[in-house]
Amino acid sequence: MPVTDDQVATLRALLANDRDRHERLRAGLDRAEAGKGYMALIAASFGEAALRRFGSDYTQADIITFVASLRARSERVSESLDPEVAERMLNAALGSASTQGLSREAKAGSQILLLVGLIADEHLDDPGLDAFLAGARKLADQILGG
Amino acid sequence: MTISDEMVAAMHTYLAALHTDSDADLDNSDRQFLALLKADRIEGLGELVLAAFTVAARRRFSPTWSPAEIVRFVAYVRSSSDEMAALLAPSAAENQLRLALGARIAPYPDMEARGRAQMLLLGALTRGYTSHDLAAMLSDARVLADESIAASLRD
Repeated sequence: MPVTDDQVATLRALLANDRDRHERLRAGLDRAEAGKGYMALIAASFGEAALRRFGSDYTQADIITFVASLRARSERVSESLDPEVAERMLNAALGSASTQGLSREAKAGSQILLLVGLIADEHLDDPGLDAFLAGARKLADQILGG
Repeated sequence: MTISDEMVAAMHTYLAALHTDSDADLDNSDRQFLALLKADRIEGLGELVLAAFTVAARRRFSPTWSPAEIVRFVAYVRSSSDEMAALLAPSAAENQLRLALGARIAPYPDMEARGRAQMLLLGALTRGYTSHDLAAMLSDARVLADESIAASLRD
């Protein structure tokens, strides 16, 4: 089952900081479908956003500084986002670490927070966000289909 | 048991050597700690480290601090090298700094990791200290450590 338009619209609302729309769309998602398609879309978007931000020429200091800058923006985020998990997730997305041993919930929670932070820093306009999500959707469909 | 002059001197030499990158100074520091160890006069070192860390943290972040400042400072220390990033666990480091600054939170995680975080952060907190600054900080820390040891007698 590929990623649905509703799932893309839901993530788009989250990344565009349109909270009301995101909550409404999120509530309307089919729970079983979202468990796979929506989570795959988030994972693909996170991987894509991490690559865009850090590329291949990055240092651990870049990762540490980014995670800290994100956690320093809000006390709620600081408490929710475990820095060790966050750094590991970013390193894994960039191909230099494993997420073995992390729970599904810990991975998903940190992916969403990191993704929102990564995209917020990109300051994408509407076409830019659409293009980003189109690429991530394609990747997620490949993951689901593979 | 109270904190000895030799222990304070060894801490002073160690912290000064950390910031000079001089092998000779570090060797001298090792020798002082070894002499204490051989003479079985190491008791109280943990209290002195904790007290020095607490005094240095309060000097760095007083009069007010925010959780965001703590997060940024720990990231700054960890980003100094891959080795430091691996050795200094961010959660433990933030927890120890917040506790030192009076936050009412539970200590995290185990004693060993907390001690390592205190020692590594102490090095970072005292970067830029002159010998006079170190002596003044350790003088305050010694009083705090002695008070802590005295208080434990009543537990």
